[in-house]
Amino acid sequence: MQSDSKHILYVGLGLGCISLVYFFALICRLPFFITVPLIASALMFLYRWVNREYQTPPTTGKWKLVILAIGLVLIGEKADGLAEKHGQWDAWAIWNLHARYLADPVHWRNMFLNLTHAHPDYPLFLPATVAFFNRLTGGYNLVIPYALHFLIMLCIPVLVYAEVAKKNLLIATLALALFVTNEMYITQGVSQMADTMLAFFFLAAFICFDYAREDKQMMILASAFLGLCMWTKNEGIMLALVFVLFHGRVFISEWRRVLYGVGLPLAALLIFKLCYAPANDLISRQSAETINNLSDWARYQQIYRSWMDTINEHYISPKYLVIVYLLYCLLRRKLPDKRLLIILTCLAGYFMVYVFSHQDLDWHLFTSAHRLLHQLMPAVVYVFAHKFANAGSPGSFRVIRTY
Amino acid sequence: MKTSFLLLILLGAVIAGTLSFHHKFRGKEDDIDRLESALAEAKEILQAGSAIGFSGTTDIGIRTQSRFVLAPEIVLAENMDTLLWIYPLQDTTRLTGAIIWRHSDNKYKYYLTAGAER
Repeated sequence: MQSDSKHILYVGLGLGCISLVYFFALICRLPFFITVPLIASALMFLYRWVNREYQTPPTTGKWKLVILAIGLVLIGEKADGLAEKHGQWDAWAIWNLHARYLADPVHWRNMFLNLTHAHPDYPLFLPATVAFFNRLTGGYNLVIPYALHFLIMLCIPVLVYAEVAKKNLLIATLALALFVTNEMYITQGVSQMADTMLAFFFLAAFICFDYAREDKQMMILASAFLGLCMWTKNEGIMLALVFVLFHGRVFISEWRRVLYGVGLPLAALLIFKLCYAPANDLISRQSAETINNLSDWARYQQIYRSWMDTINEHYISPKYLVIVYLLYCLLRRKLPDKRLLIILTCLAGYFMVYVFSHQDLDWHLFTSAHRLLHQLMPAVVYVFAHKFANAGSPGSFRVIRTY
Repeated sequence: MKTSFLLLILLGAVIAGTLSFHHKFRGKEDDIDRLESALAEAKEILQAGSAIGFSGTTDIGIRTQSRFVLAPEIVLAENMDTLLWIYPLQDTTRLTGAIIWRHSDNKYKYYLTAGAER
């Protein structure tokens, strides 16, 4: 992997490290003047470890940089028009609210008393990171959550672009254009909610896993990013499980590296869920009615219609890419790319969450369907861009992808 | 130097975007800021770490915004004796019981009561 991509992955890894160390410091009641050097040391160690086999960046073409710069300026300009001062509703009602609690070393456990509409069971990657920077700057600062989200929103297209441009600049430019022209991507990117962070970690897991055969360090990184998916949102637990399920053989044979990567985020998540967080409402409120939901075909129709509306409105290009590719696979009697199967399985999982949901289905779909699709969109763009960029290489569209 | 031009472009874009956000919203007051100003005194009156309930005739938006504004020192929880009441300015409801604090702005009336009932 090139150093450009490694540096971008390091951004995500570094933020993950900050949130984990800060959370552990909080529960161990460590003073902040100890937490800061602890985090700084961890970040330095991580940087050296990620770049231990440093590869000098290849001479970057001028056009490659110009295209990227134009893309980022266009995204930035759109983001500026779409940004809200306190973010969207869930941003201040949940994520930034939790960050305010976590920034208070004395009263942070009060967060778990807010049981209605505040979802104190949500994992703490985002709030802990924002809380750390808030304390570092001496108080709640609106710019911090925005800057973090803006950074990650830009890291996603840059990472995809960097990975694809080294093989095919045209495909990389088209992939970048997909992000630039997708208003929903940018709206969610600056919404200050955790979905873009989750999308980044899931994408990073895919990219690292693609290198895992040739570089064993990437297995640790892929596992770490899956762990950070779980530490970011409850949906991330499902995404990580699906990913592991599809690569079960590799994850078992590489269990030691997997443990290195996933150990810390998983430990934090378990401590948080078992010792602090109340039960998740989607799970705790399941009852006999759930079985009725399962056989209620009207729900399936309603979810399908809502999803298709959302996809047609915001994700029309990825939709046609997937359909055409699946038709191609059907005609050639080949199994689709395993990465795409993972994404489609995650979609199926999300679909079933709506089927089981105890909440008003209209409201639930209206408030979250576009965000769930947003979480998977970067991975879809990467998979297709990577596939098309490799189209010149022998068998790229013929061989069933295996590890 | 290990960083590349690609990363410098990314960094530049992030700095520019963040500065633009700061410039755009500096000095601009929205509903949450207005509520923050209104409840600033109540926050001082209430003890840090205390939990209060919420009542009044306003919607879930105000309740949620109040929780955001009062956090982290004060929790807006269910079934508490000390209550924060918020009414639209034109509402004529009279509260009984001990009113600890009252305030009004151009949209709402705010009361802090100990076990008050309408």
